[in-house]
Amino acid sequence: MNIKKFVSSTIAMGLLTLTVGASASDTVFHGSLCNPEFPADVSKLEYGQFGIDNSSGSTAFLSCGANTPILATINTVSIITYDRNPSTNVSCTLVLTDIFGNALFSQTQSTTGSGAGFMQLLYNPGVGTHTVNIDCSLPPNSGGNVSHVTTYRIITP
Amino acid sequence: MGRFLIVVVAFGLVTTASIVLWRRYSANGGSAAAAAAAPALSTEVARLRTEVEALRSRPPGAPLIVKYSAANDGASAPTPATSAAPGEESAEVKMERIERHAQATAEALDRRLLSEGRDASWGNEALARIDESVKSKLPNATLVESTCASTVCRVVLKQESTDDQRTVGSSLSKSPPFDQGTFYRYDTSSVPPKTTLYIIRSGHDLAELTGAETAQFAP
Repeated sequence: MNIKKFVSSTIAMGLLTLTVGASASDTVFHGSLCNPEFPADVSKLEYGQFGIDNSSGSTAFLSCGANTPILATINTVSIITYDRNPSTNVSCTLVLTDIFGNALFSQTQSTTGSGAGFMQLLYNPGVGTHTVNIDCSLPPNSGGNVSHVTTYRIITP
Repeated sequence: MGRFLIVVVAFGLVTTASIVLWRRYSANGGSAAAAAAAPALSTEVARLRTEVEALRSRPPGAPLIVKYSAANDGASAPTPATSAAPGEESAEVKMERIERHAQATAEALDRRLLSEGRDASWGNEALARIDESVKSKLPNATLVESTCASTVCRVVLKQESTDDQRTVGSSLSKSPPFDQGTFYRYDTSSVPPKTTLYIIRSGHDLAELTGAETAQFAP
């Protein structure tokens, strides 16, 4: 009897923990989910293992949506990019919007310099929202080296 | 002659059968249409009942104000799901908490704006850019107020309509100094509608600037 009680209490506690913790989320999105922002950008962008990149000789603009839990508080957004252009940076504007598209919080972050390795753009809004949009500009290719948005990660408490 | 009679009788039977079938088909179609229209009819009846109740309870000479509930207003805004798993907040409770947190954040930023010292160099630069950006990106908006301390600025805009208000974020979010980080509050009840934008200085974030003051409403 005691063993039965112990087992059922343990299971109940486990289920409760799972339920209470269900609202937290940490989701990563692949850069290939991003879309060209303007018709002129369609032919500039390529998609692949490293997300989305700009193979053209001029800056390309892209827009990335996300699938967040409704009414989530967004604590952290992290974007992994590769900036291969020494004179122009990768720049991304995070906009948290309500269900009607009104901005609740926005912030722009840019890379500095350039290099072979990845660079992270980090945002800490801490604002409750309905959904998330990220607009980025990718610099032109530099000597055949292209800049990417590879992944973006959204963390809610 | 016999053949002629057979043809006439056959024609008559076919015509009668067609009329009977057509009537049955129409009747069925009508029922289906009526069934499809039933929810709309119920909504309409509910709306009319609400209006009658409002008329009955209206003091003499007072204007008629009818408050429709979501249940009897077919054109209401999309309602969030109300069901929640055990131990999880419902959408309404979550929305209320988020609104309280946003309000507390705005109030904490207002207090910070009053209490912290002024960084003239950053503040003057920010004020000049605010003026430029609003004029160029939102030419129909009126800049009612712009104030900067050392880590935060407050900008109040007045616009013609709530439709104009919706363009604030997309117009200003990438322009300096709004690009450093902006928290938006919409006052849709004032006439004309006003929007308050709090600009967070680069290198700072909302949690740091509002700190423990908003922690009680945090998730």
